[in-house]
Amino acid sequence: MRKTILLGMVLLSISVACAVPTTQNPTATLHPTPWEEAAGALWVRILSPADNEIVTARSVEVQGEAPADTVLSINDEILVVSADQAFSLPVELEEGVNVIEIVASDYDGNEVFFIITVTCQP
Amino acid sequence: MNKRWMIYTLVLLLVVFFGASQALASPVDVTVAKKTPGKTPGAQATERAIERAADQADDDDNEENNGNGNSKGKPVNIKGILVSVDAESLEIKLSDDSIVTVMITEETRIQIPTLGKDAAIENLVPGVQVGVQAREDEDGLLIAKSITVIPGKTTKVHRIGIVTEYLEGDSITIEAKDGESYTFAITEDTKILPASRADGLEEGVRVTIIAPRDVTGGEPTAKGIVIHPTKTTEP
Repeated sequence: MRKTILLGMVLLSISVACAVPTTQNPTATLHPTPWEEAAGALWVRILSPADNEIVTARSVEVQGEAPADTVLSINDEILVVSADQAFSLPVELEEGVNVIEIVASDYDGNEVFFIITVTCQP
Repeated sequence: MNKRWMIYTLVLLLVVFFGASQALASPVDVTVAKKTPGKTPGAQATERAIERAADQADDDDNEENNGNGNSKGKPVNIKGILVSVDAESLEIKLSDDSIVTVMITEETRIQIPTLGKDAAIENLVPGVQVGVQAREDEDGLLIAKSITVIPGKTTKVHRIGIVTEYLEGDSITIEAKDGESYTFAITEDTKILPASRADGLEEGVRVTIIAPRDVTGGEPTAKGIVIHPTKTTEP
């Protein structure tokens, strides 16, 4: 009787362990937000969008935080972070996979970058 | 009798648990993407092209109205490393090392950040990371709507340094932290930021220059010049 219960528990444990998916979804988010990168005294935190995000809208708001006076280029736009350390910029999307490229640098020459892909699926 | 009943119950429970676990463990999205075509890619592309032509003839009016030329089929988004490409199909290696075949049609859009809208299939090089928006047709074939190359490096660089020469409307040279001098062409599209400091752009000022990553060896054009305030130390 004890052997049967023990065997049952072992098999039950194995079946529960098998329930954990082992194969990664190819479209899974690689960098969940907030996504933060740092170099020297420079740090940049991207709050949205998330990498691999799928949206239905034709534009997305790139939002994040960085020290004041950080220079940012977001695709073809250039901006300087204000004293409140927050930045926000709308980016137009085309249908399909879009690449949003963010480069940030500071006075001392520290630099970080982000390459975010957003899929527009209206 | 009691002992036998318990054994039966345990076996039944195990069967139920095992069945449920297998169902949970199977990755639905990957299954969709991994469907292996039964025919050669070329034959499938030809077959699909014929079907598409027939479909298009029927749906021309609707497509013009909604601007969405490939509205049929289940959408599938794929991201991975491009393994091979030809005029009819491409193979992509996913993060789990499996290979997915996606068909290319004349309507498939190719987007490469460095080439903009001039990109073509010939510009796709195996080894790069790509994102593909595809649709799964009724036969399980994946038809690419758009293929986007995801660069490993940014297409723009920031150069920070002290201005050593500034020719308004023509060029700017800076000495960067690495001791090297970099010269950038200035055009009417070059932005000078912030506008309040634009008049202060002169030799000796610290600036950040945003320019396309130079791959040709020529003089890059500054897309933007950001003038930094002079750092002052507290007395």
